[in-house]
Amino acid sequence: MVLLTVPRGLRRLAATAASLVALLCGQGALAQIDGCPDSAGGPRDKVVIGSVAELVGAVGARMSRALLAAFEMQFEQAESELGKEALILYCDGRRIRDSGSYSASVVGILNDDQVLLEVGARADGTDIALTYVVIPIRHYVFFEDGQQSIPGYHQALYEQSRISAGLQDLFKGNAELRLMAALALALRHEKLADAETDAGRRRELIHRSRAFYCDAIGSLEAARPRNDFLGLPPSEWQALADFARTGAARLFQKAVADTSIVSTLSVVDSERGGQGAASSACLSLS
Amino acid sequence: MASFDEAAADAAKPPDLAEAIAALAKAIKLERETPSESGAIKWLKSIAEALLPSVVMFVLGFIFIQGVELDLKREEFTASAAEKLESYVNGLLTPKPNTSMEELRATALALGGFGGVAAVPLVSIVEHGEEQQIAAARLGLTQAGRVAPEQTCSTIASVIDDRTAAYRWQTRKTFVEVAGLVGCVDARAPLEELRSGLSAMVGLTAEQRSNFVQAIDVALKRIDAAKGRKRGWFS
Repeated sequence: MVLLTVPRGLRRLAATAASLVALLCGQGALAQIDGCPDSAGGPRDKVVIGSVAELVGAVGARMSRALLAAFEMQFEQAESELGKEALILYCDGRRIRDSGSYSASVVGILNDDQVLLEVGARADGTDIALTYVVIPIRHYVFFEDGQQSIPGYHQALYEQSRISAGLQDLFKGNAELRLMAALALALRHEKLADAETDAGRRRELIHRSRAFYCDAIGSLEAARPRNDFLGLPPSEWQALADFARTGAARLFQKAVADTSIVSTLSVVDSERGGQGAASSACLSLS
Repeated sequence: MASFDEAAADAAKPPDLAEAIAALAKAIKLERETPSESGAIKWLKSIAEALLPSVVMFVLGFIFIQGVELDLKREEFTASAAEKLESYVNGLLTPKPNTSMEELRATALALGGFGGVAAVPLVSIVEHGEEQQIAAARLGLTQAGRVAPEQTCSTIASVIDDRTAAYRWQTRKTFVEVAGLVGCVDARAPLEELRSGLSAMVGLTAEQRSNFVQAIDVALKRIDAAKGRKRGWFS
């Protein structure tokens, strides 16, 4: 009651504070992804790499370019057009947080900002822990559908020796990274296809989504947890494998249900990640 | 002889004097019967008459002093509240590097406790902040809406009803969600208008548009469900 009778002074202050916020943020400035460069505000899909300074000290321009190149290499084989469609950002000021920080609200905001995947590295005793936050999975599957087995927040362990030749080696040929990115792209394209009203565009999106699910299936074997406890926890790997296979089958059914799509269904090695996907949903109908 | 003289003297006295003496005797008798009552009233009257101006002055002075004191306290409270409000806004706007999400949430909840006053800076934080700040500000707005629904809902409705493209679509979506959580009846019409105009909004992917429509539908349902809700005395 007191608050309601007093606020003239407070209102003035609140208005001043609001102006201050606008002034500090810059006129017309867009919201940003925490710790990322200003260009992160663009309307494109994004892969966010958190700071690796904890592992290697200061990261110069050369190192960050090498990191970005290592990420892009993950998608060459799948011809995913990630380089054309998605922006890979190295965010020097971003530290990977615990899973509790990726709440429904935060993940919803990141999903609206078209973030696909966030990767963060930190030392874990004698090993290196890489954290993968697959934003579409965490948003749609974990929070919206309530599937607790697939949180979209995964940690994999790697040997320290993997960065002896440079940190980028941690990402080159990294099967877990490729699996996560393919799943993020697959679900993003599936959601786009579901919302698309144009038949031609929808067909294209269904093709792509299926291709990414198949790419993920193709990466599963290489990402299988090892006996020395490195890599992903086995239960999480299994949940991701089930998700990829179910997704490929679902998209296959969507394609089959659409007569305009079924005649164009095909499969190429790249769609299966070149690893020989053992899923009938990834095979050609023709 | 003496009795004759007295009788003669009495006869010689004027009759009005005798009556006066009788009346005086009667009065004396009456005074003897209730001597204290009359004296107390008189005494009290005289005291009251003497003290009345002082009492009136004292009461007026007391009221005046209390008024001034209240004004001072109010100013003191405003200044202290303003300082707190400023510190909370700063805490949300420029969090220290190691600030946890829990700390941000606590700051946002404290800021939201100021009610409608807090909504103004929170709008700016949602518009310009980073994801953790936006999520905290969303919580603060919901808190503000529960403390002071009318004032906050007016701000919420104005953001949803933005016809000047002053805000990002993400900001408006956040306010759509808050409108539903608070149950802002004022926001119903702007929400329906926004929903019908969403297809014409440029710069959204099909997925973003679909999620936006879904958020509006959820908010409308929540507002309808909250219509019959009782509100606190403070609202």
